Amino acid sequence: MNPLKNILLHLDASPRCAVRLEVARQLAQRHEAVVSGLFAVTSNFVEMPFAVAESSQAGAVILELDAKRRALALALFKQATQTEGPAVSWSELGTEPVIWGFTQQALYADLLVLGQHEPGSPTARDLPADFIESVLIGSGKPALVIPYAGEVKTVDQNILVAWSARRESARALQAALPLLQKAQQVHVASWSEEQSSPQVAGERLQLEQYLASHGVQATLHWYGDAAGNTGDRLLSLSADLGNDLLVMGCYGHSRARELVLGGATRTVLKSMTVPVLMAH
Amino acid sequence: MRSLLVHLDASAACAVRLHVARRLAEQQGADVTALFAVVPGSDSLPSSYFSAAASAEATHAIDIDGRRRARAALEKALSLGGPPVAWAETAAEHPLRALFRHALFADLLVLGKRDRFGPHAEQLPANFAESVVIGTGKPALVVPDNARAGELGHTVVIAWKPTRESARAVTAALPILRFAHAVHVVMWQDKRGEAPPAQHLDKLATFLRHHGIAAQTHVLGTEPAHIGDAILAETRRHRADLLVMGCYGHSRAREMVLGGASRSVLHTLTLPVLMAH
Repeated sequence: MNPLKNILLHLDASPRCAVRLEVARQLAQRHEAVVSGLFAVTSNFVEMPFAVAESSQAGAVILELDAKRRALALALFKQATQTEGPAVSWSELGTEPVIWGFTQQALYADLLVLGQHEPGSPTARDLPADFIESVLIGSGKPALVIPYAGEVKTVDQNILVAWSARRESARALQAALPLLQKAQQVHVASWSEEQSSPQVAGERLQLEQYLASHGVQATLHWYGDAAGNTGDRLLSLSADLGNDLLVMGCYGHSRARELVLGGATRTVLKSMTVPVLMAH
Repeated sequence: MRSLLVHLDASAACAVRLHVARRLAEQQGADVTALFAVVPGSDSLPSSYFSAAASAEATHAIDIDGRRRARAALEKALSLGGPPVAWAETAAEHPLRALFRHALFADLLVLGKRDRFGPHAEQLPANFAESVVIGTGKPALVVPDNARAGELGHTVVIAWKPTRESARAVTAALPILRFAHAVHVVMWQDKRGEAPPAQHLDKLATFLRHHGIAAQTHVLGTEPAHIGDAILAETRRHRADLLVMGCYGHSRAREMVLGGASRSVLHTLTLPVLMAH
């Protein structure tokens, strides 16, 4: 619906940053958008036990660690932006908590480009493990999440949309429209218990009309309810179809101070091998 | 913006809503679907007044009468030319559920906001507009029943707060803002004194500029106690014909709990407001 004009790219000190950056620039080129890079990591101060962090000697060491990490990220960024292509700006958070700070900046973007959390990697502690879902839910903005492994060449040639009649799904679909309109192949998959009921038939028709009115030709796959996790089914279907992007709703809510994610969302965020566009 | 869903009931204000929706459809090249949905008559009449059979008959007659009036409003509007409107109606479904189902495939909803004490107040559940905005997650243009059928989106005021609700409302309004002659963004300093409004407004102006929209920004000092009234005063000061703001609230049990600004703006609405949750 709305063109893609403002892309906010998450930067950190991981080598994988270069892949995200390339994807963001590719999108910027195709959609005439502006990419803003935002370096956002948790300070090592936060990781340290309070008493240690408070001693002046340790404080100096931590500051140095933070500075080194920043220098590394900046070097990676400079190297990655050397090649020809759309410009990417560099900015960074101050001392505010990383989720809050990033979420505030996300409000001024059309799309976020983030990296999948990789447990056990040297940079895993640079961000809270629930960074992606917290930013998605906090900002309400759609995010393109790039997997931590594997080659990523394109994100808009052969797209799989996971549909369910819920607002998160409708939002993800709407956010993906600019990409869907340029795609060569679009598949929509839905799982429904009563796939032959008149209501479901009506929904299929409405979905087809909605996509057509936005100039998107899609192949619909309507499956009955099968045993197992929807997330696993989605990932294996996207592998079978050879998709380069998966579009789905991010289901979750914050209960007390903890985020409770839906099953499929959790599975995909953990085990994805293709880029995923999510919206809450 | 390709699909608009306008809600119709049996009130005379349907004509205003239809007018707004069709003007917008023309501007945006969008399709319009009108959905007639009211509380089934049986819910709104005390059953003890009638015998069961007589009551069923009476409420059935009321429902048919309401539908006929809505349909007549539509036919009249269509007879004056302009874009076509598809008709949809629900029989025994609760209006909120009907809206939730149809809204999934709409880019923008057009809803009414009735006078709580006016005629036909019983046709819809209390706080209908805000329940739809929060329940469907879709942006809605809420048109007061007494709105004048004039320009819309010529001069726009955006009441900005750095929250996802505000951001969603602005994103939803982008296609309309592109046609506006003047866009004013107003922001108050919140009481906790976090990041200064000027910084946020710069960011928002850049965001809008990348979408081809020139906006004037206004920093307005500390947030007043009656923020809803202050927002409406700003719309009068700029002679705005559209207000864009976030809709804050959540449903607790079966009751809507609205944020202060959303509540007071909706209750004293004098111009169409585009809201999103």
